[in-house]
Amino acid sequence: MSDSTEKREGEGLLGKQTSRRDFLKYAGGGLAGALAMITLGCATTVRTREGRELRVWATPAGALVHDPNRCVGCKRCEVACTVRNDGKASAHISRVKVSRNLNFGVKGVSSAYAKADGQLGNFRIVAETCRQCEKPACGNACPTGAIHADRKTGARVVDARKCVGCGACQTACPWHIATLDRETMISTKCTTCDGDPVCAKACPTGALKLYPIAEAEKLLWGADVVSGATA
Amino acid sequence: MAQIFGYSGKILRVDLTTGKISTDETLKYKDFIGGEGMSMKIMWDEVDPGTKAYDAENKIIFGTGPLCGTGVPCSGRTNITSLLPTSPFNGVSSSHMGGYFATELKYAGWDMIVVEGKAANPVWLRIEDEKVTIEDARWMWGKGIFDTQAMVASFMGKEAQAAAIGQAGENMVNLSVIRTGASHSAGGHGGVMGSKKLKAIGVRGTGSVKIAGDRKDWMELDKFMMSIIGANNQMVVPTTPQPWAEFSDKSSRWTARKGLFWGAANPPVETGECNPKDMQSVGLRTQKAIFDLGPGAEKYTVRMGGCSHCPIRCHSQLKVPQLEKYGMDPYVANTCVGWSGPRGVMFNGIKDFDGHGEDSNIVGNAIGTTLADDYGVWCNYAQIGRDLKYCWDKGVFKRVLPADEYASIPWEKLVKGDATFLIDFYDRVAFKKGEFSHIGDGSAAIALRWGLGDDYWNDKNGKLWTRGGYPVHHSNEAGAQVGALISCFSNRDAQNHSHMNFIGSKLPIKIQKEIAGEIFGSPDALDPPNDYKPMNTFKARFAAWALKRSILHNSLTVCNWMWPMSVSHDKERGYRGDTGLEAKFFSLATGIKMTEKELDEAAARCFTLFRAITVRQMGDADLRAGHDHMNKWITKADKDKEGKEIPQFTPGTIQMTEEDMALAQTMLYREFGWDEKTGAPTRASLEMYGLAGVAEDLARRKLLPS
Amino acid sequence: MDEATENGGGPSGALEPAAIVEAIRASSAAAALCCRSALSSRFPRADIAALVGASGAADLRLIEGRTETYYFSELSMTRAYAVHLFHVAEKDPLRMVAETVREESRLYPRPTDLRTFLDPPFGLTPSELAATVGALELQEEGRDIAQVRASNGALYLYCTSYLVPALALSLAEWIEVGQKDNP
Ligand code: SF4
Ligand code: SF4
Ligand code: SF4
Repeated sequence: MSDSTEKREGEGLLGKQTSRRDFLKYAGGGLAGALAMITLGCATTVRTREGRELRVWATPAGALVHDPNRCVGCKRCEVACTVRNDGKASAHISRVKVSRNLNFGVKGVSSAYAKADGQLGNFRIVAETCRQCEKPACGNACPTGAIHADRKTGARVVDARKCVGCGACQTACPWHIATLDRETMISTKCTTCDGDPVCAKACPTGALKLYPIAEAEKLLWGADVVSGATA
Repeated sequence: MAQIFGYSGKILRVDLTTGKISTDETLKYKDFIGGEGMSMKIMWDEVDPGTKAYDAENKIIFGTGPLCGTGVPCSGRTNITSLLPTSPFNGVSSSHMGGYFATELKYAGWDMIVVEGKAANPVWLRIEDEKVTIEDARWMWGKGIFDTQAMVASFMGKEAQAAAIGQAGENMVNLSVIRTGASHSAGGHGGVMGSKKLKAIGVRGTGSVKIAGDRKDWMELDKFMMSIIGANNQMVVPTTPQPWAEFSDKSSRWTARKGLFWGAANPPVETGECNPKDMQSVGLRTQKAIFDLGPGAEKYTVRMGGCSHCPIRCHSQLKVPQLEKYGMDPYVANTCVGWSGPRGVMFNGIKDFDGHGEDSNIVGNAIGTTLADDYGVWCNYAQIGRDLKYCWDKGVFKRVLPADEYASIPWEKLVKGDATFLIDFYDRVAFKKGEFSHIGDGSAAIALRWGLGDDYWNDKNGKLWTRGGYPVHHSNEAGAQVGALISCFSNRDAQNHSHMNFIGSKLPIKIQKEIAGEIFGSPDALDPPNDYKPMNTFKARFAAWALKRSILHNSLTVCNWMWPMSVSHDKERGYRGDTGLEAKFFSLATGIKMTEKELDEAAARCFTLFRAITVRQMGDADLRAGHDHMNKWITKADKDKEGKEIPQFTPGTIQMTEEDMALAQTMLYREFGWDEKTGAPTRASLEMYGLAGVAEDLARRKLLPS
Repeated sequence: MDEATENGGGPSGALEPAAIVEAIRASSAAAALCCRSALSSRFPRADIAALVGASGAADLRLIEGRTETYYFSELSMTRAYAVHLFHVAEKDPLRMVAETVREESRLYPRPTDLRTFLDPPFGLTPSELAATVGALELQEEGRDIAQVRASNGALYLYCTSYLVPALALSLAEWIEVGQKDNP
């Protein structure tokens, strides 16, 4: 299962974007000014010597990680997320995704459902969280630059004023975390709640936690790449 | 359409006879709050007296309320109202299921689904936000509930939630359920879906529920609720002494402690001591597996499960590899009577069988629950096992079963506690095989069919509450006359926990009595356990309140297995909870300001309407005699070892007396403003509740008490 | 208890009151009582009782044993729990069982399942418990403690000052048998 993800991820990364290491290479090649701009926190478009346009992203402070072993599937995280961030209760636009994997796991229903992940199987509940990707496919796909790194947390956030509701971010995100709210036609994605995630506070088992980005990356990009699982 | 808060605003109506799908407005029923209340109104308006449960003219209503979907703690339940096949007069009744179906329905934009008519061939209902279709279910028909849910998801996507019936429902077994998810079932109405040839309802919702109030206020209120919520059934005291706790009680469901695990999680998850100040341990408090199945269940526990937006998690989810021996999947989940009901069929207990040794009981439970949950057989709150025992003990089966059928039943397994008996048992019941399968018709039906008389109804071990054919459920053993009264009104077991979530809190009696005094006007509203006093008006007030809160919760919809929050674990609050929380959440969610008192009055309106439906269905206003009359074992004095009668209202007996219960009923009728003689709603009371039209109808039928 | 007193020890007399308070609080947070003897060896020159008394820390409580004094902080430990630990520390199972049974019969009221004393925090061994129950029947300490057996064989104790036999029996029967049928 990791194969397909890596491929999907690769498409986003190798197509036209650049990695943090690539960026440092460019910076060393004389783009020092870009570094100054990144530290301000916004995503910035820079032009390489070859004349290629790149978006460079500030490093996020942290990302949310879900523990499928502790989760009890209460969905309190989802509703806390949307009440705080949207003023309404919803599952679909929650930036932490429990509902969609609840019954049948990430892979969905199969003839072997009774032993697969999910409440109708082995009971394992694998939620997906936003990885605050180093090179966010969502942000890089956004045609209006509405997705940017938050000044304070570096989280990749949607500027509702710039979002045109095209859904490019949702399609681009390998895990479809960014989600278009069909009622507002504005994209929703995890902001880490200014670094103080309400989902984690609402979680009654401690299954959700915000980790410093280096730790989060280790957990999220661990053995189970598809699920984002810690186990 | 103006913005609507809390409610979705729309009711989905489906006529399976004509295939017509239409939309109704929720708020035209808003005097009835939601869920059960609104369903009662629809049943009153639209289902004629004389209609039978399996008639096409019967309707089945899946209801949510304005708090469902908002994220209020414990607000994930679905209320289902319809005529009940086990009721001897097919009385209207409600069943409820937890899980994730209700919130999904709200997010799809629907508050309720009203299904009427009867399809020609098996169908299922597919709801994807506003898009609703009736689909062919020929390939689902005949399947168990687990496979049915998987089939629905294979059509609709993995996000969909489904409610379905199993073979029992299809075959119109009276004792059958509607079930959703891993283990959430609503008992009693499965056959109604079966009669309509409706196999399942699948729902997928990508929308939202709007909250009228300020989001910060909402989050504050949620935080407050989380600071007073207890464990399952609002038990606020841990099972074993804990450093943070003043009290403990080994019967509590707050089982968490150091060294207790979800043992089959990988790696095992320790519950820890669950200090209530730690919000990230609320969901670990209730390790329900060891409570329901004994300490041996710890190692089989994968996790706890439950409903949408509930932090408590009262369902234990187990991996029992031994199930594979019987061709069953090893994963099995349930809670309370979901385990003990099927187990109760094994009336001699489950002994060592098939080499399962000391885990035989757990394996046996798992077999029973798997079968009941997949076929969709309802246990009638464990009555099916008691009925089985009665009929066995009294030689009824010898009398009524054809000899070859009798010989084909593996009785020896039942007698010696081999739980594989359950495999044979459920097969007969779900597929209506033979005379024996009528055990699944329910108590009132077998009494008629098999000629069971007074001895059956008045058998103390049988626990049948009235001749309506349903058993005790937190009755006289729970708060004396309070619990006893509560059991007299539904047409099935009372399913009322408004009183239990208070008196079962495990707090010392002194604190409980103080709180009772504050809520009901006198500490005398509550007697100490098994040390009862004669009836008083405060008990009547308590019972009326419990009845109102139950229908309120089933209307909002919040879980009456947790709500109301009468008590808390918080010493600084003097262990007080907050009985005004429903109103606070309601007002914030809907923007319709309601005080606690106003909401209770609305609940009283709903309950009185339910009562009026019962009068109309029975065709007799004298409900005291015809409906509320309790079986005699309840009011008969116990005898001590020497055979001497233990007088009622002395310490150590929970028996009631006829005179005292008659007075109790009078006082309760008075609380609702009903006729004190018959217990039927009067014109004045109906008008007081804004039900003048109901009064008119009853008057025309000469069903108003004089 | 030992690691709880780690910081703050040492020769500086001025720091001692605060260090002692912290040591007691840390013990309680770790679900243990703090003995005066342990504090004394940690702070050899200090008058523990006087310092605790003068500390002004309103959360601190003490329980006097036969030869030892036990401190705890109500910030993280209730009196009820401290009393259990006190009984365990005093190694007097007879009194522990009798007083616990008395308290439960008075407070809730309910008879006490004998098996309670096998579990934490009591932690008696089955043979200790059997000996204790035997001793209670004979000795003065147990004069108000009676036994009752539920129909499934489970043995309960209750205090006759608060529960009459019929009530104790019916409650034990309810806890053991009835409740399981009415969950
Ligand atoms: S929405 Fe998806 S692509 Fe964007 S940062 Fe989150 S995980 Fe990465
Ligand atoms: S951190 Fe905030 S925005 Fe992100 S999923 Fe949690 S609640 Fe939603
Ligand atoms: S709040 Fe926690 S336990 Fe509940 S669904 Fe979310 S991650 Fe799982």
